[in-house]
Amino acid sequence: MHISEGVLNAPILIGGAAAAVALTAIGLKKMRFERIMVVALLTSAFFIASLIHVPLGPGSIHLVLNGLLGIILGWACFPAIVTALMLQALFFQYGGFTVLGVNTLIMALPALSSYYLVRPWLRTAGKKRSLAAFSGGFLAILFSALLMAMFLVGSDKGFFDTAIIILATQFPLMIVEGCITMFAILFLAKVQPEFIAEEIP
Amino acid sequence: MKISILSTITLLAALLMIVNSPAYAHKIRTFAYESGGEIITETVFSSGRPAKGATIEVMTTTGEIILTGKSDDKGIFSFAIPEEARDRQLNLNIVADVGEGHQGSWLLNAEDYLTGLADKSAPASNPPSTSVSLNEEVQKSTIQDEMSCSELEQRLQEMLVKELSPIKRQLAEQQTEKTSLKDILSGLGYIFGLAGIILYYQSKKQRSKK
Repeated sequence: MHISEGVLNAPILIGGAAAAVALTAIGLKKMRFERIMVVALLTSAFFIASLIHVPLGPGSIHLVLNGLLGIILGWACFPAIVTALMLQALFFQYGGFTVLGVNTLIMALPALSSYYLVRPWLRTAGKKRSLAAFSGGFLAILFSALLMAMFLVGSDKGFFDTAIIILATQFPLMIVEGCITMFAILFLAKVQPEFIAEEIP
Repeated sequence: MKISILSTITLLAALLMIVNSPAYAHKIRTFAYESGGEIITETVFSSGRPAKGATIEVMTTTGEIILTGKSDDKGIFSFAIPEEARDRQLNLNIVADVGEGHQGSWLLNAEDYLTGLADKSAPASNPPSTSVSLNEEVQKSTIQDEMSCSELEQRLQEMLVKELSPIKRQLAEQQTEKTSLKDILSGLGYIFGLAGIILYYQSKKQRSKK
């Protein structure tokens, strides 16, 4: 999911960084005092998830968990994902600092879309909640893959081919993430219901 | 509340245990070393799987591309040291691209891959023209000695290449950065440290409001 350094050209990098800064500022403003520890917990989950390797597909994929972050955090997923990506670049050499903005957009925008699409359904108990949580995780990866293909247009073989390759390699991940997001949400609904019941701005 | 804290801690611990098994990551690692006059590049995903069919570009540090190739099923691509690079003693920047925006690079310094060659060219220049005033028989025997000497040298060199290349490979591999438990824990420390800082300032603000 992370784009490496030296792949994209300068205008895209700068544009991506500017957009990421603006959206992170909004996210920080909307983050409430009581939610800070929740944000930190999910940031660390995101940070570590990238080390869990899914042995599927021809390439090499790891968990992303951006859907879960988006559903639980809402707008606060921006500061969370920026922080986690920065630390991943620093400690694991994933991505890099020049591509930080673009990588943030690739992972955080779909997270936010999951929030708006799925969150309202979580208050209903039962099957609807499970299905909503699954699609939250699934769609986040799907949108991320599409966004990534968009950013890679200039540097690779063109949008259509790139998109197909990325979607094909990420498809198993979409299902895995859907399941993990579903179990995580169901688990949280039991032990920490305020995580998902509360209305967050 | 107590139960939920416990469950989060066990979750985190479980995560750490999964992660603790070595080399779980997805960025690609590339490394290169010289062996018997060839430069061998190896590209693996950091999970340890070889990256097949990765595009390998060998370029100068200023970005001039010298040659390109594709890695084989084991993620290996090897090429004879280009003459241009040997003559100009270039540091080579080797970039591997597996598509999907994943790229890895390795800087091979001139002194690292040219040492083997310096040894090879040195013996060729010193041996002959030692015996001038000696009689023919002695001369003959020295020539024979020299023949077997050069043969021996060649054998030795072959053996050395065989013995040393795994070591060179391992050394190069060790220089690529792997994720360790230390990295993970320090990352987590940063996250909670940052959260702590934000909490501190926010609580200060709230107190001053009251």
